Amino acid sequence: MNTRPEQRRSWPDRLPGKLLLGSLLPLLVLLLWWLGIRSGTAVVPTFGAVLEVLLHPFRTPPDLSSRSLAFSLLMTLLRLALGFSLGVATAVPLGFWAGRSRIVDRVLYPIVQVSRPVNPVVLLPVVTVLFGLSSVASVAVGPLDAWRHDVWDQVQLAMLFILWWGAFFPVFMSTVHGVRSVRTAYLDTMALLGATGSQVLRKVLLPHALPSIAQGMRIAMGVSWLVLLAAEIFPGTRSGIGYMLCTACKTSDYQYTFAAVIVIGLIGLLIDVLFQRLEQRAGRWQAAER
Amino acid sequence: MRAFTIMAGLMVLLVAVPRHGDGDAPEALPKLRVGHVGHDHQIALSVAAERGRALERPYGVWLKVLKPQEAYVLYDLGRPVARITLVRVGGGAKMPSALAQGRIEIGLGGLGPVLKFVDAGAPLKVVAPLNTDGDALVIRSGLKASDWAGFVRLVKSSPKPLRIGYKDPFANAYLIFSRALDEEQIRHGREHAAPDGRPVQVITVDLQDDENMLPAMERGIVDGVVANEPAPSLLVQNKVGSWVADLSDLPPLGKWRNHPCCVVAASDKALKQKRDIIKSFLKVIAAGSDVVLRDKESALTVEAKWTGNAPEVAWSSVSHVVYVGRAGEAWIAAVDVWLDMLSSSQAFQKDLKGRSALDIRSVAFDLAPLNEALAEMPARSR
Amino acid sequence: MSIFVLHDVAKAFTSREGAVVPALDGLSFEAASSSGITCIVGPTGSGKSTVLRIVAGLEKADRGSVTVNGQDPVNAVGLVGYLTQRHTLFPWMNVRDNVGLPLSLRSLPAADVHRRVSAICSQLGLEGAEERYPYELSGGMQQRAALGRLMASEARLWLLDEPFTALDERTRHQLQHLVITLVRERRLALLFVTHSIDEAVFLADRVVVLSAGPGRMVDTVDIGLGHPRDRLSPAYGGLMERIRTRIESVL
Repeated sequence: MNTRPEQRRSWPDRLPGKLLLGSLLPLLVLLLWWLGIRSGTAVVPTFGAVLEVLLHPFRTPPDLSSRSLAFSLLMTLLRLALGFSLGVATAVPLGFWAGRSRIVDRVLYPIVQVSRPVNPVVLLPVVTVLFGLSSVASVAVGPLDAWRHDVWDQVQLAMLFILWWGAFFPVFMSTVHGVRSVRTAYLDTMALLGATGSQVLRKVLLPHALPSIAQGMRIAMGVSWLVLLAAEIFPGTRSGIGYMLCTACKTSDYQYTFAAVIVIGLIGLLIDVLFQRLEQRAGRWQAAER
Repeated sequence: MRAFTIMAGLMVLLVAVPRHGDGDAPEALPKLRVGHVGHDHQIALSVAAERGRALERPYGVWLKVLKPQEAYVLYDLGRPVARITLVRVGGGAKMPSALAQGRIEIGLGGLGPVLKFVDAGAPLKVVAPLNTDGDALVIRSGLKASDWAGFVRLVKSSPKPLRIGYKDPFANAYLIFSRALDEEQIRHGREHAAPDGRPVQVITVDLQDDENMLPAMERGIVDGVVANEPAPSLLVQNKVGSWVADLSDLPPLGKWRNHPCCVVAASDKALKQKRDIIKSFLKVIAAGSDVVLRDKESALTVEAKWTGNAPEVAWSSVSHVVYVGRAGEAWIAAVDVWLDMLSSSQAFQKDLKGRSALDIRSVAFDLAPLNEALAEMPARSR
Repeated sequence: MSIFVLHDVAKAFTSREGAVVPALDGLSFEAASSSGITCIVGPTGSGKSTVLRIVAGLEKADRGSVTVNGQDPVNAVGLVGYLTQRHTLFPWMNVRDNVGLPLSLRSLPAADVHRRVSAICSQLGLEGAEERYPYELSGGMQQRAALGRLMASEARLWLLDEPFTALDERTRHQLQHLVITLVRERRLALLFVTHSIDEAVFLADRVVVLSAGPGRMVDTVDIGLGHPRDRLSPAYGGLMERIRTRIESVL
């Protein structure tokens, strides 16, 4: 017997309504831009010039020492995916461990709390001392042959490190919270059923902590996105959306700068929507339980 | 409470009530925002600022300090004509960008970036020269090359590509260096593979700014840099690099001698609305350049004071730069060579595309205010 | 042999401020037989829930002995099932997965698990609700599912801690009947904590009355009535009165 009454969603909550309402302000801005900037200046391009860039994402900018918009985006997303994944892959197991073991938690607590507030971008000069300009390719195949693997040669270890830093702490903290907040009753049930440690992990701890982990991942992704764009401006980078944005400013190709800004915003929105969905899905039972 | 009320009232009176008969007060004067980088290619400005009233008699202009290195009153023929605000905007594209955005009205910076912005439609004009030459190649200590020929041998014999840093894709140093590498048939580029698919022999690394060069060399991120002074002198004095070549001597031999480096540029709006003030300011620049040429010792002192560099760095740096206070025929000829080089290498893609050097000068240069200013100066100082 | 025996059991807890709070003091009782229902009643704070946790092996007695099927409760894993008022079902699992949890922990083939879970759900009136999640079920359905999990676990001793308190009267009565049926069919032993004297008399073969904290044995009442029991009969009423009087005497 289903005790929840059927809920008919009103139009602002349905997808067409959400899209309509959400696009009102951006459309207004675009309209004002189109009307206000008819001929463009050296620092404010016309909407048409920016649209031209967006509609030809595979075109190599003729006047810019940068790859195409599409390639730049690919590099940015690749770095983001790798760094973020490293962060999650290390934070979740460590978070589980710290959540279950007081000793591990006590050992990690000081260093986590000291490191957590440090903006990863600030670390870039320090990290570059450690890694230089070495890349995934230079590690995999050696510095002499790294150039043959263009894409992987542009995934710098220093950048991966700061992305890992940005992603690690929110996910770690949320994992610890998710594990610690498991009700004793659930663990008692498993104990009485004679469950092994790995069964408790798979059947109770992991699913219980998942909403919290998803929330941490959403926060971590936001941090990583901002960090990455700042890191791509760092000396030695030669591709990426952040790099394109910065380089375009130097050569007064502001249509690329604006196009990059729009892409950054759209991708950021898309990522947030995806992670919001993940969080909702993972935590559906949790919201209902409350 | 009563005392407080009286004090507050007095403060309001002081601030709110306009002062009469004080038209010479800095607040009443027209303002001119001047952008600069703060390094010694632009030392003419700092020398003039430090000289103060000593410039009045020989040149008719001088700068009265309101706040050192930040705010001055510009005097011309005994009258205050403007309040000058110095804004440190940074090098490369930052100066023309600030001009185009209206954050400054006149700026001191590299010719290349200024032309790039003019090509993009920015309403700017080059109004005066500042200096020529003053760029160098420095490689890290430990690499065996003490001149250009040695560097070329090093590159061609190295099993892996050398990384050479630069600060801006339109900086003189980078442009000269990459043309010289072409001349030597050395494959180079930002990407690690040349268009023909072979690995490059020199990887050029965008270090974004002068300030990143020292740490980049120290950490081994790059094997060398091409840069304008004082960066090369700084690297050598800090023992992270050794001098290889003055870029003016790079091949094709003779082509880069006297190449234009920094210039004074102004927005079209400022030229229209504040032409007289700009003329007075250009007199200051001309005066400052003369002092630098005549009295290197005092130039060194000023350089060290304004940049914070050690005296040895200042000496080395200033020694390699040629200060130019007049837009003479030699300078114009060197500019034309430079413009032809930029044009032929597809550097211009929009308004300046395909134009001759003469055409470009007609669009991007306006030397009339400078010439008028010089004509107004005392005869012996022109 | 009694399926569980408590002898002179004492237990105290330490509060956050460091004060020692005795919960049980010298408690001794045992199940009436190897199967059947024993109910524990008593005022709030008499340690009723603590008794269950000690018998389950989730807490250790400070003094005395506790045996389940002749062994230490800690070694009686799989023999004991536990059901509380709330938080028994795992909210991230649907009914099928919750009920089938004990079977899946034993790594039985999926088809086997499916078949057995379906049978249990059918017996408990959960047909059609297998794919629902606990938050989509009424309180009564949730407790049925929890009972289903106990059935799947094949535990012989069920410890139920006020499982029907939050339910409406009609649902409570339905579930009481169900429990009685299950005990009889499966020859289970139940240790049932309740604050409802009516519920204790309705269900139990033996009622243990505890005093106010620290809990001590006040009385043991063997009910001696067959099932189904008539709530309106004088014997039923007399037993309720006796137990009520004993509880009030220790307040």
